[in-house]
Amino acid sequence: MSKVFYDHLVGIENITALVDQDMADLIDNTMHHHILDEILTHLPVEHHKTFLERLAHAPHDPGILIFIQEVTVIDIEKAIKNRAKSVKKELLRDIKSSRKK
Amino acid sequence: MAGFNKKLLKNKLTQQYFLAHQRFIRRHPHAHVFLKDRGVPPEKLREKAKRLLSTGALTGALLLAAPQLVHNTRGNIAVLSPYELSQELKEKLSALLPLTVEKLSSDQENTLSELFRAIFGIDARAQLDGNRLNHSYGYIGAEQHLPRYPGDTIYQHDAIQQAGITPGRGAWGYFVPSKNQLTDDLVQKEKYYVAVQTMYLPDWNTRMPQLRDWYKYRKVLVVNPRSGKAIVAVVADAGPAKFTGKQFGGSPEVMDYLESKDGSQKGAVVLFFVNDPDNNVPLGPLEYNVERGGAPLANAL
Repeated sequence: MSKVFYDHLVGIENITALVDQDMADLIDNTMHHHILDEILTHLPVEHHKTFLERLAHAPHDPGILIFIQEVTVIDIEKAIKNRAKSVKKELLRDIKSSRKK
Repeated sequence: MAGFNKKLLKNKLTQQYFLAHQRFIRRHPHAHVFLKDRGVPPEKLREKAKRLLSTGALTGALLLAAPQLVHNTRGNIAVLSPYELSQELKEKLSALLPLTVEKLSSDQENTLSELFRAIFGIDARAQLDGNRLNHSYGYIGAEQHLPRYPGDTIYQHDAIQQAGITPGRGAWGYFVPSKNQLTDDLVQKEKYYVAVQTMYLPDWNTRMPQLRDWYKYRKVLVVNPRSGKAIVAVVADAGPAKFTGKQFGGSPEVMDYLESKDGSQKGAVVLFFVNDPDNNVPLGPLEYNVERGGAPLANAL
């Protein structure tokens, strides 16, 4: 699977391995929305355009993470990890509750 | 994937995806428009990265700032966003429903069933297994949270705590006898519940044991024609009383999503039973097509 610049902070492989490919894609797409929401929430508005341009241009570019680390006041890596953890918890809950009884 | 209800799981994951998608659009509309215009919405990020890496364009891509055109892989099928969907549904319902809130004819109910199947891909009917409520179109009022087990407090509920919790149990009692028996499934049932007037059914007194079991956690589709929003919930309480002028009650989460309260704290809704014997339809907001596992398509309307 090709990489997006924040993949190493998110780690959804242990969840996507539990489901079929079409569901893994849904999980992946859900996570993208959550992580982008997290980044844009903490990124100062004046840097949104630069971030979005870099993202649209080369989503795998590790320089994007360096850029947002430099211009955000919080620990953005930690924020991304926490958000991913919370989303994964919810997704795992859905997976577990879909077990046949 | 052995041991899983695949269809239910896929629907739950689809629901998670659409909620995240909608939240992103609501919170960052400028980013949504920007990425969409560049042909790289969040769903296409990985595809874009793959294309760049596989074509050996990495170096150039990092150095040059020329945007790329990305073809819409969905071809000419128009996919509705949740907002567009609610607008479409609102428009269709305004043409189908009577101007005043009154009992619907069976023709009207059948037409609505067809509409819901076309849009959401679910089988929703006013009558199911020979059972029907006295009203399929009526007013819904806001209810409080229900205690799920003895000792449950409002602080144990994770959302809309300001709605409060009823002092007594729901019509079907506690969801579980004790807190440690509470499951995610039951948490969802309390979150998305409705109250219906089972006590006024003509055969309630004569068939109470059967009807009580049939209605307990019976899945329903609730649609607000004014907002065009729809949600799947379960029956978990009886009421409201006739003198209130309302025919249904909705949990805080149901009412919040449907935007169903006007100044008099009530709003008109269509409430149909969901025929879902295999439990494939998850509870909660309905913003996608269950059968297709994707957003409703414009040409299905």
